[in-house]
This record gives sequence, C-alpha cells and structure tokens, in this order.
Amino acid sequence: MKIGFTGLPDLNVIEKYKNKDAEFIDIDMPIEGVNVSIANHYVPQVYCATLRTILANALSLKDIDLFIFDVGEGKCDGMRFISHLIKKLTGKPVIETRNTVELRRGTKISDSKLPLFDKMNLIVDNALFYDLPEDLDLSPMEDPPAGFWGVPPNNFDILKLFPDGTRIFGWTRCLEDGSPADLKLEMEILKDKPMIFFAQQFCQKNSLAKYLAEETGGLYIEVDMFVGNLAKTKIEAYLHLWKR
Amino acid sequence: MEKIIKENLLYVADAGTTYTKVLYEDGTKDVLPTRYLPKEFSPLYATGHNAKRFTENYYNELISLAEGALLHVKEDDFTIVDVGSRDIKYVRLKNRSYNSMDWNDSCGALAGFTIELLEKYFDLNPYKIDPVCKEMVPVVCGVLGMAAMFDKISQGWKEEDAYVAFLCGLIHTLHHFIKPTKVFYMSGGLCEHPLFIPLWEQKFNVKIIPLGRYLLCEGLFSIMERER
Repeated sequence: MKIGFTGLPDLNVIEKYKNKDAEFIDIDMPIEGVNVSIANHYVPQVYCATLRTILANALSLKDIDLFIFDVGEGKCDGMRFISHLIKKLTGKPVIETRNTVELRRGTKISDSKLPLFDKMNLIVDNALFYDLPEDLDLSPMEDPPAGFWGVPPNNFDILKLFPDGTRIFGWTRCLEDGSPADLKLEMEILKDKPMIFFAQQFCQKNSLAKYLAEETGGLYIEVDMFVGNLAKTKIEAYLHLWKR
Repeated sequence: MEKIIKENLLYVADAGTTYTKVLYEDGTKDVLPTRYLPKEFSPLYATGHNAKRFTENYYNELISLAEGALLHVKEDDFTIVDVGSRDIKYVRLKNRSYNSMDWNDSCGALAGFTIELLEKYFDLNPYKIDPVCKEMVPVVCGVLGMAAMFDKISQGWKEEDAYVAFLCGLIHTLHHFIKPTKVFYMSGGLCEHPLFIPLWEQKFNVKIIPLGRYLLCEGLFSIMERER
C-alpha cells in the first residue's frame, strides 16, 4: 500500500498504517518525473510552490492508494483546499488531520555541525518516524555561524549557500521536534548571529518571516520554485556584511 | 579598445549590463560598453551582471556597493543606492553594519537603459531641459512606463515633457522602493545625469550625495587589497 502524506500528520493516524507494509511518500517535495505545471490547470500559477507541487504529485503518482494530509495550523490553510481538490480529482480516499501534538523529539539535527543541506534532507526524510542511523554524528554546533529560519524550501539549492553548522529554526525545527503547530518554538531565533528568514513565495509564513527579520535585523528572503541570483546575492552579501 | 587594458597593471571591473567600469591599481579609471569587451579582458576581481565570465574572483554587487560606500562615507548610519542600467539596489547601514537591503531587477528596473534609449530615440539633450517635475506617468517598469509616456505624446504632449514625466514617474517608483532617509548617497552612471538627481531632490525634498559610477570598483579594490 502506498500512502502519500504532507506536513506532519497526526502520528496516531500514521501508526494505524505503519505495520501494514505501507510505503509512505512525502508529496510535499518535488518528485523526479512529475511535471509541476500540470497543477496550473486547477490553481493559479501565482501560488505557493509547495501546494502546487503537492497537487501535481497527487495527480501524477497513480499508484498511491491513500492520502493522509495535515491541514490544520501545523500545515497551512491552503492545504485544506488542496486536500478537497485532490479528493475530487483523484477519487481516492483522503484522511485529514489537524496535528496539534507536541512530541518533543528534540532538535538534534537542527543543532548539529552538519551542512545545512544534509540537515534539511535528514529532517524531511525522518519527519514521520524519526529513525536516525546510529552511526550518524549529530554532535551539536556550539557556536553556529548563522541561523536559517523557515520551512523546507521547494528547491534545496538555496541551502548550499550557508556555512556548515548553520542552525535550523522556524517550522523545520518544529517538524524535527514533532511539534508542527508550536508557534512559540517556531518563533525561536538565534540572537547576535546572522539570521536568514526564508519563506516560500505566496505562503502565509511570509508575514511571520518578515516580522521576525525586521524585529531582529535579519534578512528576509522569499523564493518561488527556482532560486534566482537575487536571493543568492542577498544571502551572500548579508553574510559578508555581518562578518565584516 | 586598447585603452581599457593597460599592460602590467592590475585592475578590477564592474561588468554591468550596458557598461563595464574599470579601476586600475594606479587609480586611473575607464569605462567601455560591455558588449565590446575584448577577449583578453581579465580583471583580477570583478563584480556586476556579466562579471563571472571574466574572473574567478567574483564578488556580488551588493557586497561591492556596501564596501565602496564604507570607504567614502564617514557617518555611522547611512543609505547607499545604486541605480544601474537595468536594476536598482540599496544597502542601509546602522553603526556601519548591516541594517537592511534590497535589490530590484525586474519591476521598476531598466532605469538607466530606458532613459538612454528614450533620449536617443527622441534625440533629446537632457542638458537643455529644465529639471522640473510638473507631472508624471506611472512607471511600474521600464516597458509599462514607456507605454504610458507614448500615450501622453499621442494625446498631444511635447516629447520633452513626456520624457520628464517618465523620469518623474521612475523616480517616484524608485523612491518608494528604497524608502530613503532625508539624506542618502547614490552611485551608478545616473549620478552624472543632469536631470536625474535634481528631479529626485526636488520631487521628494531629499538631499542626494553622488559617489560616482566607480563606487563598486572601489569597494572591490578594497576587498582585493584586504585579501592579497
């Protein structure tokens, strides 16, 4: 059985399928071979890249048997409508959850010395079961050079611009902790260090990212599907000027 | 063409969309249309839209802009704005450290390029035009601004008046993009334009201190000196 999921659904629901030889597929992220532009038939092109990706994946991955979507405050309001659309267009069963559980799994990956790109992959890959390899070195970065705040970007290229050990904040930190609706945790930041506040273009998280950046002297960046030169340049310049 | 490469002298370059500015280690400067750069053009350090083609020591424009401004400006808090051929960018510093910045290379852009295009097309001499903003046309971007300007001409406006209204509209867009303080610094080729800064100062009652078109090169040069 193949199950497509988004966000971090209520794990009590996930548990019911865990031992039924289910394969869980994160359809938040771009999947090779899926053409995201097919979402243009149903939602505007000027729309959140993550929600467009979810819709395109759901329509394209014909062998998915069931969808489990988090649609509450731990995900986003837009997901409620996308869930409705997927149900209608695919005719497949959809289970919606509103996950307000705070599991407190900790933030070892977010705080580790690993490159930001690797951290993000680890968090996304372990979102449901947090089953980390035993030989993985997750020793903490005591004095992180910078902080990245935000959701996992639709395009991870942006993460390669950051120095190793950059600490993860925002919703991604909440995801690792298993507490996707914890606004207090989502608003934690690193003081006296460069902080980059990232949001996916057209996402509600932009308001929080902009607010926190202005409050703390951080850099606010919004990116659509592709990471253009402008975003890269701003990050490079911000890190350079901070170090100066 | 030969004048741009002085043998045995190191140089840095700001290879912009339209023009490339060059600063030699002896302090001399030069400018050349980017499309005519010779094959052997190889600055030790470079910035600008086309810079990566010419050097391995690339620094982006925002970094070069801020570094250049820090060389010239002695105040702790200030804003530096660069109006280029196809973009506008600014960096605001507080206590000589990062405060905010932004860069617009789409909407409200094509500033310098469009001004030059209009002057050539209508054969206008900006030195003979009074810097007075009476009316403006909306300039959301260069192309839409031009369309609005041509509408005015078709309604009977003089080409010269429509051109000044375009400049005022462009300045309006740029001003609201950078949200400047009463006094701010400017770099880029438009520092030398006879209408651009006077119109901006008049329209918004601000004081603009021009730092010239080589500011990014100067910033880059200081980075090179620190690193070598």
